[in-house]
Amino acid sequence: MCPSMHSKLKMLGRLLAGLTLTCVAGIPPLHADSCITLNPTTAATRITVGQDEAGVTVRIAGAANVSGDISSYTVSSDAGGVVWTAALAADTTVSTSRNGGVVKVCQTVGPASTATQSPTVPAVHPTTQTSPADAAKAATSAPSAPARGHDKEAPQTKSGEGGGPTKPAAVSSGQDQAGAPAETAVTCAPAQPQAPSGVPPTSDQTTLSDPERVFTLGVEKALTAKDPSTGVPFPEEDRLKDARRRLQDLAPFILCLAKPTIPRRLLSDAEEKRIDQQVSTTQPTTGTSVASKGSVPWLFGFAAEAGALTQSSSNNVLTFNGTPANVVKALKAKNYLASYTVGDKTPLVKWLFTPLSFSVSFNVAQSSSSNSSTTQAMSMARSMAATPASTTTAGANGTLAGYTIRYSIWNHRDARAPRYQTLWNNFVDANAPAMLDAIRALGTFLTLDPRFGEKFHEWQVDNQNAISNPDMKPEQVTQLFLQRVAALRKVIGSDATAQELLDKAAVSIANYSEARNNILTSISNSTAVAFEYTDTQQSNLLGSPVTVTNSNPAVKNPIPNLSTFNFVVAKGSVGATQFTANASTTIYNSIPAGTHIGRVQSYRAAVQADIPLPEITNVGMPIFTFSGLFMSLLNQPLGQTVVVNDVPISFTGNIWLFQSKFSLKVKNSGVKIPVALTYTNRTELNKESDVRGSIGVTYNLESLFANSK
Amino acid sequence: MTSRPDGNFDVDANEQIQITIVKSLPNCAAALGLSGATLSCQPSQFPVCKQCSFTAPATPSSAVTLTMSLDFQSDEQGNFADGDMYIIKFAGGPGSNVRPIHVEPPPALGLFFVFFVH
Repeated sequence: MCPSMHSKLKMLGRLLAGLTLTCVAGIPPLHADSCITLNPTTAATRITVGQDEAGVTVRIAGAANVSGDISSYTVSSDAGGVVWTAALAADTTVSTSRNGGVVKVCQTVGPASTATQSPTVPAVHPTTQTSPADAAKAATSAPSAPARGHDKEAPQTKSGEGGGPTKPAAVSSGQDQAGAPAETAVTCAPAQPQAPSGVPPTSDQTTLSDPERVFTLGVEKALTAKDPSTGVPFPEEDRLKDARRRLQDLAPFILCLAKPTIPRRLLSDAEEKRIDQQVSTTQPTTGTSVASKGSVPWLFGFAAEAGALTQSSSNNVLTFNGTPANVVKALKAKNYLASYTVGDKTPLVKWLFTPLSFSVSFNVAQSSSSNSSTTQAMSMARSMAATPASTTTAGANGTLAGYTIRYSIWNHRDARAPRYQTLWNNFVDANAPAMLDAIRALGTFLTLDPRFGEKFHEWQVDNQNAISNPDMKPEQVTQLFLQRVAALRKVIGSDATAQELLDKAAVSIANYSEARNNILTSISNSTAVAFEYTDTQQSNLLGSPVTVTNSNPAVKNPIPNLSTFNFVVAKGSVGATQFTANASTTIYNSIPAGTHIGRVQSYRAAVQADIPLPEITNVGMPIFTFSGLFMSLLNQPLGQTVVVNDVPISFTGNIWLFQSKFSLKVKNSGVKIPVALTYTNRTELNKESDVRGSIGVTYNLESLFANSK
Repeated sequence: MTSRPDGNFDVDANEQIQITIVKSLPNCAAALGLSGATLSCQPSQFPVCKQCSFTAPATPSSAVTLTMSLDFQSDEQGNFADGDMYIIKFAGGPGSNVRPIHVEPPPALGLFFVFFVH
């Protein structure tokens, strides 16, 4: 114990989140018959109480006032918050009670039954004393300390129930003001998804690997379920019964009670980490992407980008892309998943319309400075004076920058596709039996073993009575789950056989889930091949007025537009890295009169690697991208000699660039924000090397449709 | 076969029990595991995912335990489809009346049922 720290805390009786306190002395034993009260000062504060052979651990994530007999506690902190620890003397039981958000932890000498009959709740600080009823509840002791207590608090029975099986109150919205069941519940430790080597956990892995989350979602879905054929909600009584059945799924309970060393992967989806979809512009000289990717959004995508790649302009481009056939299919099916199969048996739809997608880019603002108009006017004047004939042009705000038509030659990266039914069947056949055997072994043991049969039966009966209100809020469902986990922990106690079966079941569930994730990952890593045609309205893309010179005064040549033919190959790899290669050629749509250039403007080759990085909690998944591009510029980039900001542009030759890009895929939103830094030996319009930054935002509207309820 | 307050079932000795699992949207991913009796399943085609049966033991006070995993496919974003659900139908001998169970996403990987023989 750190005496000075202790006295300070005792004097203040208050602890703030983030306080870094470390005591390195040994843990003193708890005083007999005393309590501490922890009162959260913010709604976000989470207080968990754990107990094992070594003592009691109270963890506070957030801000809370702590009062009562704190003299026996040592205080430290870790990444999860502030930790109060006290050793547990022999023959001392610990009880925990919650009243709204206030948590009271008491220890009492003697067996639980004695404590129940003679509640004694001394408090060092009378101002924190609770009501007699609360005190009695608080003094109700838990059963003997379980062998493990990594993340659990001592289960709490309701006053008057002694040490018998817990009787969960039917949870209703009016149960208590905070919506939490009166009975104390454990906090199931956050799941630690065990992703395959090198694969960062995705948003949904984080979410769905959490047993609390899975249980809550399952019950919530059942309570709001509709008849799929009519869209009408099921009768209330049926919804309640289906919700109660969710408590017969032992998997979340098993993972919550398994040893902390066991992977707690309950579910995992490789989908959220998809980084293979092209949402930004495919215009060859603009945007933040060096290479076009293998896939496009199934429905719509939207991108706004500033900056260019191989040109010296820095205009802003808005790109809208989508797959028309899928829009029609989605509208027809009125269901996102069902729409996937619409038209699959019609060859024209399957082979022509579904693989086709489009994108349209608009020039939304010209690069400008405060004196741009003056500069441009002077430039024009000089250009016109110096040349026998000239035409000045520049992209106006809102003009079409170009469009792309894309045909997906080969892409089977969507796990919902009917073609994967066999794969899914084989996966279940190969992986489910072991999991079901392990879960059944535990359930059968608890059902048939005389030591557990009656208590397990009581637990199951209580489960079926636990949900009586169809309007339960998610936090109430979660609280109910934790309550039932605490009750099951009490049933199992410290029995080694039961614990071993439980841990084996947890391992089998984790194995199943990992295999499931591997299937999804392999699907999303399969090869994708696409061909795209891009029309580029060059004059509209240029960020500065361009003056075209010509020796013949009678000829006024517009800057020719371009057609680019691009072949795209993409392949996923280990660690969810996506590799993409592009090969393309760009031709002039017209040959300016009086010029002697060839039809081909350039050849390009580009490679790109998108590397997903570990997710930033509550923010999203960052993606780091390396890419390179080689461009052989066979003819003048704009088809003829032009003057841009007083500089005549007629360069040909080779251009290469290297780009590093950081993109943040914002969690559960479909939004991606790319920030790129590009180095190039020269640009199409400038022979000097160039370092430039570009930024954008893309939105894959697919997530909007997928999230629709 | 009748439902019990604990969510399990009472069955008669030698009673034939049928278990049918139907799914509302394509791509079944259901599995069954049984102990205490022999599970016999027939080939099935969507929307029927599983069609199995077993005969309850002849010994009174014995039990058959059943585990069931019902998995769902998610879309590219990891979301489950609205309206996707499994419907589990239990049927026994004459007089049995067990309400079908609807299970919606997320997956339920460890549904546990006991059939107590009387």
